[in-house]
Amino acid sequence: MLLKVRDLRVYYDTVAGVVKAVDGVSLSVERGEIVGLAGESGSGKTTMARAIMRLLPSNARIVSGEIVLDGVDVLSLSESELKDFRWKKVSMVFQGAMNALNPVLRVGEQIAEVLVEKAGYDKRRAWSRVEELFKLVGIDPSRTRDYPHEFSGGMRQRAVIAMAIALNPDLVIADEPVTALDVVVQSKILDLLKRLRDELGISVLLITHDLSVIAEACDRTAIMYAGRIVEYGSTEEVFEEPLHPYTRALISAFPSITGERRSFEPIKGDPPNMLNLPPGCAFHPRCPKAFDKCSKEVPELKEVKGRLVACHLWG
Amino acid sequence: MGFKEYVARRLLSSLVTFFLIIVLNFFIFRIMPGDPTRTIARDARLLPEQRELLKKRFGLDRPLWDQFILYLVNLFRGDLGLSFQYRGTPVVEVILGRRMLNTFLLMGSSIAVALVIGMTLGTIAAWKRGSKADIAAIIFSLVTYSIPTFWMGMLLILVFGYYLDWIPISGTITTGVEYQTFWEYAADYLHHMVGPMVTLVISFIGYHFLLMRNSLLDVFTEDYMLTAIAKGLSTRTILFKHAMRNALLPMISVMALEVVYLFSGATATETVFTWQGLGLLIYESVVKQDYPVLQGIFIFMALAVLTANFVADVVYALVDPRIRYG
Amino acid sequence: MNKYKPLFILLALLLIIPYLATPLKASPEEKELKFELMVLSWDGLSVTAGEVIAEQLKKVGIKVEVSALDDAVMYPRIDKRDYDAEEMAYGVDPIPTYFYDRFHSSQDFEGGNNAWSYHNPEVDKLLDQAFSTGDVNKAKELFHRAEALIAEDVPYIPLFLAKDVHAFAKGWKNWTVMPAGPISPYNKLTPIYIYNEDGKDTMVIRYPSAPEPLSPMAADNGRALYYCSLVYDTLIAYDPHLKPIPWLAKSWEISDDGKTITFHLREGVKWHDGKPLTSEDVAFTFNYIKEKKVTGGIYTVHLIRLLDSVETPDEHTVVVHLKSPFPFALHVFGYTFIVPKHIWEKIDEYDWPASKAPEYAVGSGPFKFVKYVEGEYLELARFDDWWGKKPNIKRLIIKIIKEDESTILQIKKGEVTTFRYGLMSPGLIKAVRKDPDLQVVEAIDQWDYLLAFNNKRWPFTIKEVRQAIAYAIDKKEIVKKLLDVGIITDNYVFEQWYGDWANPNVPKYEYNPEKAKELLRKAGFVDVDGDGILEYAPEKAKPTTPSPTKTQTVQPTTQKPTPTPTTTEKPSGPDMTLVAGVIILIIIVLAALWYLKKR
Repeated sequence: MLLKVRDLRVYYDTVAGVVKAVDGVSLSVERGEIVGLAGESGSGKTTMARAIMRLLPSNARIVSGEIVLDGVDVLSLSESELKDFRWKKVSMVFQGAMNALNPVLRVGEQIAEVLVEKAGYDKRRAWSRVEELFKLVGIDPSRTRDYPHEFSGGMRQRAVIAMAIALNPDLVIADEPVTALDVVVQSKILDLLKRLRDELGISVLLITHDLSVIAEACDRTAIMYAGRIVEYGSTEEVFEEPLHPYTRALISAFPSITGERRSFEPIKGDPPNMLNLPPGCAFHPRCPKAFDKCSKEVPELKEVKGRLVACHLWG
Repeated sequence: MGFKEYVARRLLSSLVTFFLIIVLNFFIFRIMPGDPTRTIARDARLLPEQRELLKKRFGLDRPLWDQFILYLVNLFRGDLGLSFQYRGTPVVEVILGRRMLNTFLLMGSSIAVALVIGMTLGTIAAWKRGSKADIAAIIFSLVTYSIPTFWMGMLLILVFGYYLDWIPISGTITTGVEYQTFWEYAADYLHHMVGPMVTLVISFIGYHFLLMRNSLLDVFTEDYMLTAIAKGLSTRTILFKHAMRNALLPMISVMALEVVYLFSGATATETVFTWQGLGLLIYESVVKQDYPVLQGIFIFMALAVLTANFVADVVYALVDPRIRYG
Repeated sequence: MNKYKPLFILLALLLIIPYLATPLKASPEEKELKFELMVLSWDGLSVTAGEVIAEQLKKVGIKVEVSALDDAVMYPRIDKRDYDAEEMAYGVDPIPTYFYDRFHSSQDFEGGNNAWSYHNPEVDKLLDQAFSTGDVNKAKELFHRAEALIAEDVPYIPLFLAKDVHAFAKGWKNWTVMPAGPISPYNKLTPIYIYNEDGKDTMVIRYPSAPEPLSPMAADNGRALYYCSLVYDTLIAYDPHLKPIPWLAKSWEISDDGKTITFHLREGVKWHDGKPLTSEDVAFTFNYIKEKKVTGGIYTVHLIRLLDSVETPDEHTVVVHLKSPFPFALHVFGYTFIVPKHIWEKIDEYDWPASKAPEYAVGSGPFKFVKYVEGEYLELARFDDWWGKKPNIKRLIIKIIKEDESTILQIKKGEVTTFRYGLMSPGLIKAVRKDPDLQVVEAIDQWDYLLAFNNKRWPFTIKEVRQAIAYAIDKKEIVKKLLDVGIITDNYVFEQWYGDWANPNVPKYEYNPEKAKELLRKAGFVDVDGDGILEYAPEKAKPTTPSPTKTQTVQPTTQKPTPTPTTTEKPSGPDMTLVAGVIILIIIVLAALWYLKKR
């Protein structure tokens, strides 16, 4: 097992109160696997990703839990060990590739600098490696000296991916890697990720709010709601037979990925107030199948039909 | 739009602006009330024929249109007319020379020092935002920024000039000294520059500090900064390569505006320390209504501002590749 | 936007109404006794004195609005006679020619010094006679008669002569005090006789700004003139009472008709470049000034006007022929900076570059030009071949220091000896007076503060009003408020400067507010609406007038009928305003409502 997250709790101290962004999440990623992490915005996906890289903002605190990556206890790393750990073990493809690249530096430079500073490349070797990487992700290698604004959206995203795999990390966390790209480019980028997984054997944690992306690329899928994982299993199974009412609602809210049109049903009710979560199951006010217990007890994540589900219906 | 075309366009608009300023500069001083001969020689008892001669000498006897043409023609020849207060001395000679050099040296070094100190402190404070050092630096900046320079100068004079006797009280050199070598002269000059320079540096630091700090804090919220941190780069690379270059963009325009100070000087500081620069010259020319000198200084200032802005635009385009294609 | 338009119109009209109503406020013919008093904003003495005057006049029912203005605004208004009243310092020099300039009706032109538009044919006649006689005693008598007439008319009120307050560094001794102080262009004695007990041989005099123009022909300010007085000799100099004493000329004679002055020059006088000074140089100087219509120097205006021709019968005799006699002709020709012919005959433009470079700065005075570091200092050295008593100091440096405060600090440190201009700020004078590290010297300065009226403007067209104001002003209080930096004067010709040219029996207006009120009532001013400010209402004033009491010094004779404010008579009371205002308001509100309804 490459990544193992156990009972992670990340809270934000804000002026309005404590936000329990991630509240007891356990998750594992195998080598060579693409795991999807889906959920509405504000459900704690990005906090998860940042926590794994120890990139949380200063008002966030890790209350409890454990993150182990390739045998390394991430949460106990010192500041200098972190610098070595980042990008070499785990890298990140940020959401919104336009802003993820520094506008005043050449794209190639932004990749080469990591090679020089962290892998001991000399300048020339670093730049030729950048060209290779460009080729690998499908960008014309002659454009390494362009500035970010000279690239199209898809090219930028490829460049960001090239940057992420520059040091051959074990895990790439892709936070909304294809949002804001058009559908054709989207599937090309996803194909690229899959290809890289096959060729380089890296694992990918793909974070998105877009279920179609998950369906297209992920081996396994975790669905998050209000800081918790509500369902976790193989993508196929989850989509075929969603066990949690939220998963079901989420899937029915999206047009079918396989082509056949289903009736479009938006999820009833408002997204949860993270400052003041409802007692018991956080989803119960919106759940069509809620009963007494749901508003009283927080459901545990239990194995049901070969996957994990947190719902009293299955308990 | 290519880089060359961009530069050409900027150059053209600068030239047009400069011409408009030249025209405006002429007419503003003509619509001022009062008889110029009264300001040349403040004596009501002048005989009418003396008055006529004076007018003729300063070209004030011609019709306004003639004066304007003459002004333009002379301007192209680098002739800005004759000063009233320095009776008949060419304006160019009054402005250029010692006064301009004094202001350049004082303002240039003060701004440079304040810029370096302010920007370094601002970078550190932004990096350690919320720390005690940051808060202390903010308070220091706000206090020094709001203290009137005049008062600050007076205070320095009293403490360091009078009681401690470390710095000279006024002037740029010691009176009546024959210097044996250039270095002796330079040392004396720099010794005299300490007071006004410290005054200016203190009053400039706060501004640069706050500006740099805020600019950096803005940059820190950008996604590419998160990328840089996620890449596990060293703090130095993150701060000075990724953050600084972006944070410097707004500073470039500020620096361009500060070039004006190189010409306008800092009147208050120059006055307190009797530092004979252009700031003091402006002040005295206003008091003595020496319009030709004021007119000349304004032209130099306009030229400086336009050049600085032009250079800033070009530098901007060099630093920020997005501009070139704007 | 359109919906609110009427509301804006309404608001605008409401704002305008008070202005429309103002002229209606007091009944039209009962004009309030009020005026604007201009003071010079950067002159603390002028501003403070103006405020005190406003307070004092309020007590007798005159409303004064003080406006502190910059000279760039104030002077043009005075030049154009576009003002009610002003209060500031004028200036005098050793010959009282200002007496003519300030009071002769011919000087009432735009920019002329008769800024109060004072016209009195009798005074004109006396002044014409006084300034065209060579007989000094006769001129003095005419002066006395003119001054008595002027004092009776009060075209302006003399307030006080400012004090020249100088501070000297410790150790310096033996300066000469005369009007305008120990350091002035008329004082050639201080730099010669001053010495330092500790043996310092460099005297440093502070200037507040650059000494330019350094050319003796263009020097037109106190700083430049002082420099010239050190480097250039004059035929005569002044003693501490401003009496002429021999200088380059060891003696002189004035012809009985006052049209010829003969100067006998000293022998063996040398220029700084070693060449001998002869009568040729003197004649050249006078002719140069006349031909070039030179604007610098002290009395050059008179020289150009008076000079007919110069003769040089020998190397040491100069005979000046005047076009007409002039009682101060000796000063005019005697106190002119003499320049070397061999240098100036090559100089065409006398103001530039005839300065700064040592080869042009050749004089024959006790100090010679060494160098000028622009904006910093001007260095002079003792001229060892000078004909007179060798100065005690070897070097004299004029140092430019902008601020009074730092000057005082440098004097305390001993780096600076003293300064050119007396201190102006009462606060600083107070501090200097009690500083044990400084030697303070106080003298009469050349600045006379006065309260001027525009004699062509109501109410100053009424002589009783001018006299009443003179009675209502307590000069003692003003000077006290100014920390005693002035010496009160009631004269128009100052005894402190001109000795017996001043009339000792000039009519005086001792502070007497009761008399002021009485005069105003007699002139037809009475407080009609009870607001403490008098209005012009002759018919209301008369019945209650108490029997006139005789005044001792002044007898305000009944003048020709004074022009009344130009407004047509209307039977109206103050209520009319209110009624009119309310009616207008109602109409506007109704109109606005109607307009709104229509929409």
